[in-house]
Order: sequence, then structure tokens, then C-alpha cells
Amino acid sequence: MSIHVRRDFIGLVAVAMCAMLAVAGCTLLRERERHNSASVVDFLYPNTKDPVVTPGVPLLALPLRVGIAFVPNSGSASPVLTEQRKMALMQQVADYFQKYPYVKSIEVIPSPYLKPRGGFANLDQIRTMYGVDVIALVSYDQVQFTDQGVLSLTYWTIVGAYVIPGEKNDTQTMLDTVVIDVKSRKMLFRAPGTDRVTGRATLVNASEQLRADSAASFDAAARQMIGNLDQQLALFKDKVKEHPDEYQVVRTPGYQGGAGGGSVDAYWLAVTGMVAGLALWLRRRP
Amino acid sequence: MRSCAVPPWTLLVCAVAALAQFVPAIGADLIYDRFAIESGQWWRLLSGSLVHLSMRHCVYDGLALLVVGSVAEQRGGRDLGILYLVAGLAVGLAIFLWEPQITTFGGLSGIVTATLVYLCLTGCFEGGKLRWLWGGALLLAAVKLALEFWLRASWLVASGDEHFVAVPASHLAGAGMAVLLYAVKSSMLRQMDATSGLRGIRRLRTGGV
Repeated sequence: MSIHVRRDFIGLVAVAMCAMLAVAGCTLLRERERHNSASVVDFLYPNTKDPVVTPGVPLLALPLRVGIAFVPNSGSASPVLTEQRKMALMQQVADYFQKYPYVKSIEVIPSPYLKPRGGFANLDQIRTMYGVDVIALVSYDQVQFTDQGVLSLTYWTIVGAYVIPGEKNDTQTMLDTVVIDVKSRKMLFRAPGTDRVTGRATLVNASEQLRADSAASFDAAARQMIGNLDQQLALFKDKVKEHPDEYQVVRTPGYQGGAGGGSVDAYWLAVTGMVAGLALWLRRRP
Repeated sequence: MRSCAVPPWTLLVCAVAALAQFVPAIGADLIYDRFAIESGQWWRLLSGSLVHLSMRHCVYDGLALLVVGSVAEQRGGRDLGILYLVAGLAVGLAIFLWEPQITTFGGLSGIVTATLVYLCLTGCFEGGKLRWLWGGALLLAAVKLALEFWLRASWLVASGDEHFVAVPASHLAGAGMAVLLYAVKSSMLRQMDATSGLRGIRRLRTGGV
């Protein structure tokens, strides 16, 4: 084989390899996206032909009975939040509300009780079933992007797909709690929580890593949302005081809002009695 | 230590608590009211403990203080007035700083807890064969405090008839202040003992009696 022929052959092989890598790169270096959401607007206002619901003046009878529920997933995508995770997240919010004296009870409502696009008619059913005055609806929106970096070229070696983290994951989450007075259809206040998680994974454990990122991002967003609930609730209390024409607050008989007592109960009385008895006995001892 | 036949501090505190209960105008001026404190009525931090939110609340707290306070004063606790003062202030400050959602507070139980803990500490460290009995009472108080924080409730409040939430922070503040006051008092006594001991040694060296 002459030198010219050999050069041509090597050149041809090089061009072919470049073309192959380019095609492979186009195939591998693609972006994937997973979007999952449950929207309050979709749930409350499912039919755009209906006239807009005009809210009335809410009558808040303290102490309040509060319900908390996750808005049903409206899309066809497989839900990222299992019922167990939803209950755990709702319990966190419920624990937050529980500390307030003007909250009498908190009912965590399982997802099957809410129908997709159920609207206020569904909320009325929940109000009757659970006997709640206001309901906190938790909605979410999570987008996960997966990009393949240059390292993903090592997937061609098969082993690379198992050991080289060529997948770049980006998870963005928003959780939002909207507190609604069911009877008047009025939104009282809302508090959002957002989070972003980025990470890398190998091709083989990419979906597992995405699930872990999803859960971690939901947890972080929930923490931020609970912090925001405190601020928004304080602002709402100010709003109620400033605009008494927009919100009516009544106190049920015997209710002392925000009242705390340092109380001696039977246990303390028993201990104090015991200590007093001990002191008197010691005094009389010879 | 010299004991008091009549427990003056305890009777004074119980009398003011009863007055605040039976004369609503006085109670209204003394009660812990967060908004009033924020607007400058700082005395409510101290006086809030003297006001009660129901008759039963007042009877339980007053009875407990009458029993444990009388015993403490009869055992020689002449500085109990200081304990009542600092414990009341500590309770008010603790609620103001740690319980911002509590807008109204009342109850002597923080002071009762402080007195109980102070009495038990005195019994424990006075010596004697029966100090373990005082230690046992102290342990029971600690268990109660832990239970209150764990369950976030008091049995009186949990009975459902009282329309206020239990505030375990008030008991913790009272107990903490009793421990602090006892530690300060013991330290001062030790210093005084040491000083008087040194004087004695100096007198011996210089030939004095």
C-alpha cells in the first residue's frame, strides 16, 4: 500500500469516527424534563365557562377548626408524591398550626377525599364531612431537568454507564399553601416555599437519584413554606385588625384567644403536698 | 437560719393574686398583655403571674403557693421575697421572648415551681440522712417539667374546661431561676465562710483570739 493510499484511509477512518461521535453526541447529550404539578386554580375553578366566584365576607368563629389537604394532581403524569409523603408533609403544616390557641382542631384530609377539578362543591363536602371552618390547600409544582455532560461519552464503554456520573440533574420545586374560608369562598392568606437541588448521577441510577432529589427538594420547600406561614399569618392578623369590614371575627363563649396559663394541676399539688409533709415531718422529728 | 412564724412574702403574693381575681380592674392592669408590654407597660412582665384566667386556675395556683411557700418560709427561707420577684420576672421574660403567640398570660405556677425547686435544693444540700427524700421530690418535679414539654399540656388545661393553653416555659423559667438563685446564694456563703476562715487563721498567726 502506497503512502498516499494509507493517508487517505487514515483520513477516512478519522472522518467516519468524528461523524459517529457527532451522531452519538447528539443522541446522548439530549435534555430530558419531568414536570409534575397540582394547581389550586385548576382545582377550584375547573370550568372556565362558569362565572367568576365572588367571595363574601368571611365570618371567622374563634377558635377555628382547620382542615388541610393536598390539591389532587390534575395532569396525567405519574405523581411524584406518594400518599404517605403527602400525609407527612401535611402533618408538618398541621403541627405548625396546632401551637396557636385560636386553632381548635386540625384535620389532615387524605387525598382520595378530593376529586380532581372538584371545585368549591368538593370543598363544601369536605366542610360537612370533617366539620372544618377553613381549609389549607397545599399545591405543588416540580420540574426536573436531566442533561448529559461530556462525561456521558464514557457510556460507550458500558462500564462508564455504571460508574461515571455523566447525568446532571436539576430539580426545582414550589410548594404553596392557600388558606381558604370555605363558606365565603375567600382566600385568607397564602404562603409559598421554593427550593432547587442540583446533583449528578450515573446513567444506571439516574432515576433513583431523581427520586431522592425530588424528595429532598420537597422537604426543603416545605421547611421554607412553614417559615413563610408564620410571616403571612402575622400579616393576616394585622389585615383583619385594619379592615374589620372585610373580615368578621367572633369569639365562641369561653374562648380566650392567645391566652396561656401557668397552671398547677393535680400532679403539682401532689408534689407540693408531699414536700410540705416531708418538711413538717422533719421539723417534728427529734 | 431563723424561721418565720407567719410567712409574710407568701401571704402577700397570695393576697395580691386574690385581689386581682376579685377586682377585675386591678387584674386588667396587672395581667401579662403582650401588646401593652410592647407599648411600654413593662411592669406586666412581673405582675402577670399574679393574675389568673379562671377561679379554678386561681384556687389551684394559690393553694399550691400557700402550702409550699409557707413551708419554705418556715424553714428559714427569709430571702423568698427575692425568689418570688426574680422568678416572676423570669416567667414574664421567658414568655415574651419564647412564646410570641401568647398574647395574654396569667398564673402563679411558675413561682410555685421556683419555690418548690428552691426548697428541694435547700433540703438536698443541707445534709442529713434523709436528703434523698428531697432529691426524690426534685426528680418528680423534673419529670413533670419534661412531661409538660413533651405533651405540651397540663392536666388542668387538658380537662377541657379551661380556655387557655398550658405554657410549660413558665415552669421551666421558674425552676431555672430557683437553681440560679440557689447557686448564687451558695457561692456567696462559701466566699463568706472562706473569708471568715482566713481572718481566723490571721488572728491565730498574729496571736489574736
